[in-house]
Amino acid sequence: MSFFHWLATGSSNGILLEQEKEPALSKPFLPFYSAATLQSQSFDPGCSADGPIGKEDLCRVARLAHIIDERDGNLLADKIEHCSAQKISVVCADAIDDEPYVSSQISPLLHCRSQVVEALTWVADALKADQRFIAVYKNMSSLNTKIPASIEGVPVRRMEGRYPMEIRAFRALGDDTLIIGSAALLHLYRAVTEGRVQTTSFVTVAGNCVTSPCNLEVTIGTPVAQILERCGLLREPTYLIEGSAMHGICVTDPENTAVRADTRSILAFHVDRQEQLYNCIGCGRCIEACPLGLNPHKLYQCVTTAHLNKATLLGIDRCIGCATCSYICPSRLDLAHTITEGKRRCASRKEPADR
Amino acid sequence: MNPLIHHAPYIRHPESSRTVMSDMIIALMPLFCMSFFYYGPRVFLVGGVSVLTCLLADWMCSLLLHQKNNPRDLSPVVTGLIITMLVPPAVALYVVVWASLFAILVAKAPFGGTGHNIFNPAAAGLAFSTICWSGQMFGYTSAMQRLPMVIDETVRFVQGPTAALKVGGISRIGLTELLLGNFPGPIGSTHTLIIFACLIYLVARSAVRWYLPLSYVAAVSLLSACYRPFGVTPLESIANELFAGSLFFVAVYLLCDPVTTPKYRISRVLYGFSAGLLTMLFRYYSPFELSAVFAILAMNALAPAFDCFCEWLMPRLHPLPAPAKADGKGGARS
Amino acid sequence: MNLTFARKYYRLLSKTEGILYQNPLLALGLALPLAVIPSFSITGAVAISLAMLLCFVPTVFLASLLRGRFSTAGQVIVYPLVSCLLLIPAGKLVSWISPLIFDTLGVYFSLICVNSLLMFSVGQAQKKTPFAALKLALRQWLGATLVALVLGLIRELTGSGSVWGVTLLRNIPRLPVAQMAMGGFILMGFFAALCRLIHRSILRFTIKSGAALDAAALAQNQENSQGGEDR
Repeated sequence: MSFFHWLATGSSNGILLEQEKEPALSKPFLPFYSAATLQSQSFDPGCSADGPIGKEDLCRVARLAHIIDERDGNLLADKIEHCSAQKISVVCADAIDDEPYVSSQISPLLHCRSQVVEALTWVADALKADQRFIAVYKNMSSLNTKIPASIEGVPVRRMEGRYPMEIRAFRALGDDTLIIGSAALLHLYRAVTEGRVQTTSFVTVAGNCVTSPCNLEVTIGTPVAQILERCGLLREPTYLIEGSAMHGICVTDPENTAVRADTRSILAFHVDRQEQLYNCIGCGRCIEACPLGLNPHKLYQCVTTAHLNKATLLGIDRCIGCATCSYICPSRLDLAHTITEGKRRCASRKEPADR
Repeated sequence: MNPLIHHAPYIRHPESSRTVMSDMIIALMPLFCMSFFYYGPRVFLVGGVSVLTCLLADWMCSLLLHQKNNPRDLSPVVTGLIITMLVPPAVALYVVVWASLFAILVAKAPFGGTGHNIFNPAAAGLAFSTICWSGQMFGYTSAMQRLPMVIDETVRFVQGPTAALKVGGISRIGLTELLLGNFPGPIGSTHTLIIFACLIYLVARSAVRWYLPLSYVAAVSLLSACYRPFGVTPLESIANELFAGSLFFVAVYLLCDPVTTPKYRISRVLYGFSAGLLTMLFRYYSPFELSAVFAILAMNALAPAFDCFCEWLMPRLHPLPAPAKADGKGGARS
Repeated sequence: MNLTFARKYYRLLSKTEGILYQNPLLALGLALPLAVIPSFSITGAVAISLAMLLCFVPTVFLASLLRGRFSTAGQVIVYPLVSCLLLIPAGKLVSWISPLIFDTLGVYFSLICVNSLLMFSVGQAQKKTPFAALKLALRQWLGATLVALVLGLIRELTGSGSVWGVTLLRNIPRLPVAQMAMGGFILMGFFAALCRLIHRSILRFTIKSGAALDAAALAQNQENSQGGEDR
């Protein structure tokens, strides 16, 4: 950015998050199966892993194995079928774990490399795509494992960007790219070679209350409480989160909350209560952190004092909910939640006017 | 589960309000050490009285407002320390007590407490003391003179170089003396080298943005180089104006107070520049020596205007991009 | 604090409208500079209130006699003019009591002619009978005077340690700002906040005990109805 541009905008394109992926990333993922996985019946894949696999065969196998892509929770079979509408020239294996603590996509990639690459090659050949690559997040520091530049001939592309630019990094790739999660590719390999149905998902268990953070391969449907028991808690967590630390959902009932196919992490945090009692000091860090150049400080004031017209004028509709402002606020205010609530209220106020 | 409801995000940047304020406190400590070297242990007495008064007043105000007092909110401590740094070392203690009481009870609490004050409370307290007891506030002592704890007749009061500058005279203090602070002046605001080191620390910790003191100093240098008294080179005039009084201290600590400055970059640069111009204007035309503090108070009142100007200006500099297409054709297939 | 005390307090308020309740200076913010700035001592406060008594009260009484004769624009011109005319005997009275005060009042003496309190009271007096308007004017004047006297006392004690020129506190250090306009306004603000604090705490107590009484009455009703059902 030129100097004048930097001076004239409020923001600085997002923030760098401390990734803190160790020690979970370097340890191989551990199995935590229940009876459902151990007693699941295998099916006959109907195609050989040695030769090329056609698109219909792949779809059939994926549907029989009920493979769900952990990136968005869609069936892999549906995704491959929809590709017939458009020419796909690039297939990408998504191992970007851009949120802190989460490494449930990189871990199967690093510890089952040939299998994931093999599955990626099958998909690429079936869709007649010229290029394949593996996408990994660049801004991870202090790792014990080195991420190689290419895995079995497939280039590993480091996606660069500050949080939340990764969303835009994928948008920049174009319409002809198919992106599949690396864990889904591993399940696809297992389905084709051994006829295994997907009964597990990869989950990172981390946080400052967990004794030893690790990646687990967990049977889908296991309660969160059992997983935490298996990993061990240092102390009573203040809150449990399912999903990522920036966007996850607070778990209030761990006994009855189960792991799904697109649960990527379970985090247990203990936080200092006293740190939540500050007033806004007007430091302006939220304005510098907002990737869209909005003014979260003023929007927060407008929403809390119910000046929703002014909030609309300031552009509350453009907020993408990345929660960067809340992260960086030194007074620990709930900026993102308040602004999202205000956005919802503005939208509901406008709808009756439209009718 | 906890009574406080939690919302995403659940991780936060390790920096908090407490670390921001404690950075300021750490940056004020070396000034205490240097002034202890110059003036003796009385500076600690003055500092202790000021900080204690501010803390008690803040605690009382949170009682009156039926709010829970947050002991980790260190902003009254910062206010007390800044007030200490800008009073003379031989000042009577009741002046400091009244300044601190005014700062918290009149300039901070009625507006809503921490984070809601319009005026910098330390600047307001100092302005109050200057108006009430201007003789006491400008009675400095020469450096390297150990002051007794209770001021008696043995202490000799002298005028600082800012008094000479105000009448259009020239203060013949060498550059080394100016930078080290070896001349009569307030407790903490004469030690320019140490303040500069603290500025580097604060910028590295991102408690202070670098362009704000720079724009202030640029405006002051410009005016002092242009309107210098006869017989002084421009650089000497700049050095005199910048280092001879409390101006550099104010540029680092009072101007960059996060609550009272504007929030956008352009508006901060304009704010710093205007504050510098106003300070020099006060230096030339006002009867008091403590001109930077009054200039800061006047600019605090205008800070929201700079923000409004910036909000008017920014959409004209960066027209918004067209909204994203609703049919979702754009972007990679995921 | 009990309900009997609260009732007495509210009765006192309803009887003293304009003096303690809806005080023109503390509650309505009218004629602030007029009462605050000259009241740097008790003598100044007494002087300005005497002058106001002579100018303000007859003008308001006249307004109620002449109600409806003038349009709003006409009122703005006529009544200050009347007040100006009444200022002449007022000035003579004050300088007869103490010529020093008359000099120190300076421009604020002339400012009694036009102030927000005058226009507000004139507007209110036009809707009332002359006798009621006279009572209204006296109440407003008494309210303003009380505030000015209290402010003057505090400012004189803290500023010069004396009351009506008689030095009382010798060794206590003086607060010079009390003798300045800035100190007067800040003191006025704190005084208004103190009165509001007292009023609000009694109000909060009343609401809380009212809610408790309501709950008790509801519980009593439920018991009675249950007892009725049992039979």
